[in-house]
Amino acid sequence: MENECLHTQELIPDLIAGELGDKESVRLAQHLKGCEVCARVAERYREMIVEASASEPEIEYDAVWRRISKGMDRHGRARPWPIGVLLDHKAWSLGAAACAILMLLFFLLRSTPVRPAMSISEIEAVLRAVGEAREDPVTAFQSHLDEDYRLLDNPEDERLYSLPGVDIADEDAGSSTPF
Amino acid sequence: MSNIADALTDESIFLQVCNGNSEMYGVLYQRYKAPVAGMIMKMTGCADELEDLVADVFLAAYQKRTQYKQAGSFKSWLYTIAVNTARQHARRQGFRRRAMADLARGNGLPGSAEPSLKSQLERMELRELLMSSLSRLGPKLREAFVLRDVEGLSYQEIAEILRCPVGTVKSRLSAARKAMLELTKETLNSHEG
Repeated sequence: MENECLHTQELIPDLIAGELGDKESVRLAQHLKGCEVCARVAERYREMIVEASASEPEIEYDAVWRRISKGMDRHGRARPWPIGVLLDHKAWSLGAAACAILMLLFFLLRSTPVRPAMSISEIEAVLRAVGEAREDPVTAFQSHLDEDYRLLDNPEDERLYSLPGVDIADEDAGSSTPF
Repeated sequence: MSNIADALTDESIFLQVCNGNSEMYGVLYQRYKAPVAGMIMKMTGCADELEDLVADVFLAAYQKRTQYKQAGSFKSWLYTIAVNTARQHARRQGFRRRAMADLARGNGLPGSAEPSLKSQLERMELRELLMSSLSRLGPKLREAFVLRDVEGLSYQEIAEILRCPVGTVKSRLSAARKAMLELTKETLNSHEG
C-alpha cells in the first residue's frame, strides 16, 4: 500500500467526524475518488458510525418509567422547602450531629479549670520583680554602695557587722594596741 | 403541558424537580431515555440488564438532585451518572461480548421493518462489526469513542463527563478511532480474502 493511502486512511475517522480542515478534506476527497481501496474503507467506516448513531435499543421504556416512579416514591418525592428539609432524613441526621458536637464542646469547656485572677499584692510583687529585672546594673551597684557607706557612717547600726569584708572587731582590737 | 415543557431548558425543568415538582422529571426522562439507553448499551454490551441500568441512572440522578450544581449542564451531569453506572456494571460483569453478539444479530435493536432482506443483512453485519469492534476497545477508549463519534458530544462536554482534561479526551479518541479503523480494515480484508 502506498504511503498516500496509509496517510489517507489514518485521516478517514477525522474526515467523517467533520474535524478536518477544508484543505485537507479536499485533498482526501480527491484521493478517495481515485483510490478504490481507500474509498471502500471510508465507506465501511462511515456506515458503521451511522449505524451506531442511528441504532437505539428497544426496551420497555414505560415499564422502566414505572420502576423509576416507584423508586422516587420510596426515596421520597421532592417537596418544597421547608417541608422537604423537615422530612429529609439526611438533614435531620446532620442537624443531630451538629447538636452533639456543640454539646460536647460546651461540656469540655465547662470542665476545664479556669485560672483565678491574681490579687493586688501578687500583681504588685510581679511588677516589682519586673522593675528590678529592668534596673540598670550600674544604678543597682551604686545604690548598694550608697547603702554600705551609710552603714559605715553609722557604727551603731547592727547591719554594719554583717557587711562582707568588714571586721569592726579586728579594727577595734588593732587600735587598742599601744603605740 | 408538554408544549410548555418543550420550550423549557433541561436545567430549568430539573430546578422545578428539585423544588418539589416531581412530575416534571418525566419530561427529562422522555428527552434522555433513548440516548442514555443507547450509550449504556454500547459501553457495556449488556442488553438483558439494560432496563435495570437505565432505571438506575434516572433514579440515581433523582436521588442525587441536591448535589446538582445549577451552573452546570444537566445533560453532562446525567451522562456522568450514566458513565459511572456503566463502569460499575462493566467492573462487575466484564464486557458482555455474547450479549453484544446477540444485539448485533438484531435482538434488542430495531431493524425488522427493513424493506429488503439485503439491507437487513447489511445492517446486521454493520452492527456485528460495530459491537465486536467496541468490545475490543479498552473501557476508556470505548467511552471516548461512544460519547464523541456516536453520541456527538463536544470535547468539553466529554471532558466534564469523564472528569479529565480535553487533551486526554482527544488522545483517547484518536487511539480509539485508529483501533476502530484497523478493525474495519480487518473485516474488509477477511471478506475479500
